[in-house]
Amino acid sequence: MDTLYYIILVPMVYVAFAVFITGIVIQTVRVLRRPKPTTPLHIHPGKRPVWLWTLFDTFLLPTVFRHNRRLWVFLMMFHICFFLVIIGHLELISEMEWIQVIEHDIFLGQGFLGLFMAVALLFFLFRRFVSPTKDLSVPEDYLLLILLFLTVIFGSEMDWARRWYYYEEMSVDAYRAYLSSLVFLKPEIVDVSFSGHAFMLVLHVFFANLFLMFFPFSPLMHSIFAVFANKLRRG
Amino acid sequence: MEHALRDELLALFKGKLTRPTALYLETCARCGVCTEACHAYASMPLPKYAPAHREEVVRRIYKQYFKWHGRIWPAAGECKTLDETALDELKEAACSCTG
Repeated sequence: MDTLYYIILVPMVYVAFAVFITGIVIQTVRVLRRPKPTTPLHIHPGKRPVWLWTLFDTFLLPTVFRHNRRLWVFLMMFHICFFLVIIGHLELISEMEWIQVIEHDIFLGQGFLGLFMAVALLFFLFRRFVSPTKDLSVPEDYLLLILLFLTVIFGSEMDWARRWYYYEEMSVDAYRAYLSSLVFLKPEIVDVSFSGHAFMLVLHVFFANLFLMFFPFSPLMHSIFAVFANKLRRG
Repeated sequence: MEHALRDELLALFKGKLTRPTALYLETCARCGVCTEACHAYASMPLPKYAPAHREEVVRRIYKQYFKWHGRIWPAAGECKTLDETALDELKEAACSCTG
């Protein structure tokens, strides 16, 4: 079991990040190197400054707001929580304490960010069980939502176990030691593999690894391409 | 479909694959919001008339021949081989609005 824990917590993490970063770079370059359009595609009337409206479209999803208010609420909830969760993970790297502008407990959101994300993910998943979204969906859509749901739920459970069920022996300091050891290429998993709820961390990392490796080859690349696509519309 | 014809059609496909086309093919998350904005789908609410489905007909071929996961795991994206049925689907997707 220790070997399995080690494989998931160390080599698989490095492989996942390598695939994630190189995959994103290669996919982005491949798309952006395609020939430019011969005709303009922007919508009229144009609004300036273009970059501001591009960011407005990308981050506030006005078209979704206009056509499906309930989906918009869940989309905003999910993406805001996702952003905060990324910051929460960066805070776990001890050397990046400067990122904690407003002082608060680690982990950011106390497990509730993950809970909101899980609810939003279930909403996205159940939407795909019903037409017309069902007719448009392909297996990878379900797979990604399930992968992300599992990642989020085990990640949040770690926090709930520590806060609500007295598993304090594996604390934020243990996560920090583990993450820092990975960042500085001196992997050490002793602190995070002895507790009764260590399996939650292992499963969280395992599903996150799969998610990261799948990311560059999936529609999740919309997180990069949405800005470029909206820029096309705005001119 | 003969190999030579398929290669010719794929070369044509590649020739049309500009940056915006690739961006639109890559960015769609199949959320289905387009179905609520499309007048054609409003009058004929069949999946094949949904804008995302029309794009998906093209995307399945794109995934099969121009993306890695089409080669690694085609079933995940329901990739489509370019054959006679694919051409019929493309024709239906492109021309069912305009005739």
